[in-house]
Amino acid sequence: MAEIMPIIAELEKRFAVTHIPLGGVPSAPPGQPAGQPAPPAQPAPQAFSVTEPIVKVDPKKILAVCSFLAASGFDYLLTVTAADFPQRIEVLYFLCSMSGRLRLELKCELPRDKPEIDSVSGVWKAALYPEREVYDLFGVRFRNHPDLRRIFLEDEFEGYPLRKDYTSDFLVKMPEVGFR
Amino acid sequence: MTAPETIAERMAKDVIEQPVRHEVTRDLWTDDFNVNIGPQHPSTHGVLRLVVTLDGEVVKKVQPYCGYLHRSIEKISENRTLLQLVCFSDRVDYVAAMNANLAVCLAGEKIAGIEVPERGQYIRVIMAELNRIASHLLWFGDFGLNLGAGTPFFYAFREREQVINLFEEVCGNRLTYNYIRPGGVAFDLPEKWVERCQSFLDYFLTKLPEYHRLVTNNPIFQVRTRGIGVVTREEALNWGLSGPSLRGSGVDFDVRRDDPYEVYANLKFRVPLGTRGDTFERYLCRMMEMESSVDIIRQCLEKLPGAQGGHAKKVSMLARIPANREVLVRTEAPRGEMSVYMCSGTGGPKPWRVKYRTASFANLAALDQLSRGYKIADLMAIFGSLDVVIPEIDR
Repeated sequence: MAEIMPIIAELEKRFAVTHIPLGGVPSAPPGQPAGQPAPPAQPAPQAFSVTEPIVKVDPKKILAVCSFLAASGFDYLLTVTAADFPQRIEVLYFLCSMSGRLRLELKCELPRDKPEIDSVSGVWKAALYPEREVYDLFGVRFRNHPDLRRIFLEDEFEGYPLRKDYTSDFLVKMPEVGFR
Repeated sequence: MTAPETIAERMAKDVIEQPVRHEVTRDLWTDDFNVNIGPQHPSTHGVLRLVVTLDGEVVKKVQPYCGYLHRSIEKISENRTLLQLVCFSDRVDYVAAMNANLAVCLAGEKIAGIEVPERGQYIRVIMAELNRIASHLLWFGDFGLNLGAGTPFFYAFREREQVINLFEEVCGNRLTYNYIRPGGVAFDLPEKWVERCQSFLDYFLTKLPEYHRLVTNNPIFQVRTRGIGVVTREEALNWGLSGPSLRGSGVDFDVRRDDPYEVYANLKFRVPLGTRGDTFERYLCRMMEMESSVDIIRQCLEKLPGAQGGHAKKVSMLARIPANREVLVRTEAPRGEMSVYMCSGTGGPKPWRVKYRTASFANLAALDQLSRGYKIADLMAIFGSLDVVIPEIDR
């Protein structure tokens, strides 16, 4: 079975990506009762994934990185999605390879005011619809996407509902009672 | 691990000639003709609109328009605690609500570091596989309807009713169960349930050959499905097909076996594979999956550990998620791969972002590719063979 680490090393060399290794609930050190997650020695500087190795990619290089990965065996794009944060929008790509059963997550950080990134639908057709969804709900523009239209909401819809600052008369907020 | 049996082996006596894809280049040209199907067409399994571009009878292009059932479940989930958001996953895929429950619970447990007792894990797998049988049965009946056969529907629902009754005994609900919860399952199995489940499985195995006699070996059915909607292995991977639709094209991948979650690593089961990737093989993959589901449930019922009442670990209503974590959990739902991405952001009882990667959404995207060059009469057969559930597309 092929290993993921050489591919990540190659990515770091060629495209200057940042690797965020797998994390998880650390096992309890001796002397501490099991079951209670021990606090990590130093606070993690950025979000890590419990299941996927993350590679942070410069948005300008996403197409080159994806073409390289597709050529090195990542033949399956699980999905493209995004998450909105106060300072940035993260676009996420989940890849895997069917032959080696490898998994990888790509992460691109975009500015909130004008998020734009190259479409990877030329590499994997599986990106066509998810990219439309991200455009619809987050307002991320995918350059060179063949058919970038809203997919769930009507064309006249204003705003991008999955952004955290989206407000609407229809949106009912849960009362904060009980959450302290 | 047993060697996967290919469908080609099983259907060795292949006598029916393969139809070919029609080239859309002919001496006599007709103008393109757009046909609007839906949003309320009985074959579309819900409200989905297809705009089909035709050249004569041959499909040139299919454009799906979705969103009629968009209920912003992902946005709602951002405002709910781990326990509260489980009931919304029922509505993501109402035909296989147990599997959707399982996916979102696994994500929540991984990100919050909750462990599930072994008995709870086995009960979860039993429920997920029973729901797979129920879901495939519903699809089987519906697929018959898509092809103009009314009888399979009644056969399938006769058996599906029994599965639903089993679920009702366990959790009181018949469609949206909300049974699998973070930390385990909501209730333990009632008295004598294991015996009733076993007798259902015995009964069900006697009924499967009946389906094959009625539908699989039917010459009309075979002519309408063989060689239709062919997708090659490379295309299937590139388009991101998953589940039986991917395995019908010969990709030997099943999340349950290759990336095991819960107790699937302790179980032995067959993963049916196709070779040609046509509508018929996608159909056979699903039919044979029901057999392997029966196998799995039998093993689980035998191994079911622990005493009555050990089905769950108590999880606080306000179970906190540590900050700066994310997780992607991959599970094999009946329609294909259902993955849930969860990210905790600043931490607290609510997740920052929840994303459902559903198989129907990915499979629908490939419909255009699959149906180009076939007759419009085959469109519903191809569409049916992808086993699309509309709420799963729109979410």
